[in-house]
Amino acid sequence: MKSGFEEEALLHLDAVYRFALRLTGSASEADDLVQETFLRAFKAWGQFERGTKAKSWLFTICRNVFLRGHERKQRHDEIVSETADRSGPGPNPVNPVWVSTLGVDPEGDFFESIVDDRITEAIAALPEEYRTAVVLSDVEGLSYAEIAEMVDVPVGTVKSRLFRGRRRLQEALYEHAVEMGYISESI
Amino acid sequence: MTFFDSFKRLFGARRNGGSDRGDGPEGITCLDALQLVHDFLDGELVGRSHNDVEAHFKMCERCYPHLHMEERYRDVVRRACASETAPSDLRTRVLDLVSGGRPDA
Repeated sequence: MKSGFEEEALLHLDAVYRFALRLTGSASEADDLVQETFLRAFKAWGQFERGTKAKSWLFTICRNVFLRGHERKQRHDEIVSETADRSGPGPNPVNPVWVSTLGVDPEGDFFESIVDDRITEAIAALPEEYRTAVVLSDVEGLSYAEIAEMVDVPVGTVKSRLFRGRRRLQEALYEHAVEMGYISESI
Repeated sequence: MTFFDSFKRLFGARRNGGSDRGDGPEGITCLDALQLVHDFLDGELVGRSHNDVEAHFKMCERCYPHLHMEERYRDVVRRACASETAPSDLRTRVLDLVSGGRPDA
């Protein structure tokens, strides 16, 4: 095996698999995507700059393979709305979901009642740009700069996608918790 | 009454209670703190900004619950996703792919 590949790249197999699962939404597609990602990474291992993060590099390959295999009409729509959003006033820093929640469940215990599958479904329902930003930051702990480099957008765009993606996800989880009776709707 | 409550009562009550802008006890406003909540939790603030935001959340009973909710949200998302691991047969297949000694592209 090429020098260092096992120690530096294969080490991240679980993380790449999780990312692939979030991107594709299915275990069998994630399986194919991971194999293709590692094959390409292996072939390009000579070009990988040692000292940079292998994890971000693998995520980049994984996302590029995924995007190439999909029609990106949705992407266009999303970018249009993102641009339109930015021209308006800044987003409200007071999260309306927390305002609704704090009156009835000040500790946010309702989160613990939501099963993992429902959470991953809610993530899957996000547009790809938001989903990628949320997963890379909230699950994998990448910095804004790392995500920006990965998806080739300015840091400000990453922040905006994270903000909007998190709000949508929080809203979806709150609505699910209300439907399931884990939390009562605030009046 | 907790230490922070007493502290706030002594030093922060007038500024905190008096205006809708919500000036906090540590010099930054509630609006600033809430705007920076993600940067703060994501580890994107350094030095003084980080300390100022942290101090505000510790002192401000209006803002602290918002920080707490963001933390609960992150915990639950991480819990749901981070436990997933690659199936063992996938691991085997990937190992086979890369140990087959395919030539560089």
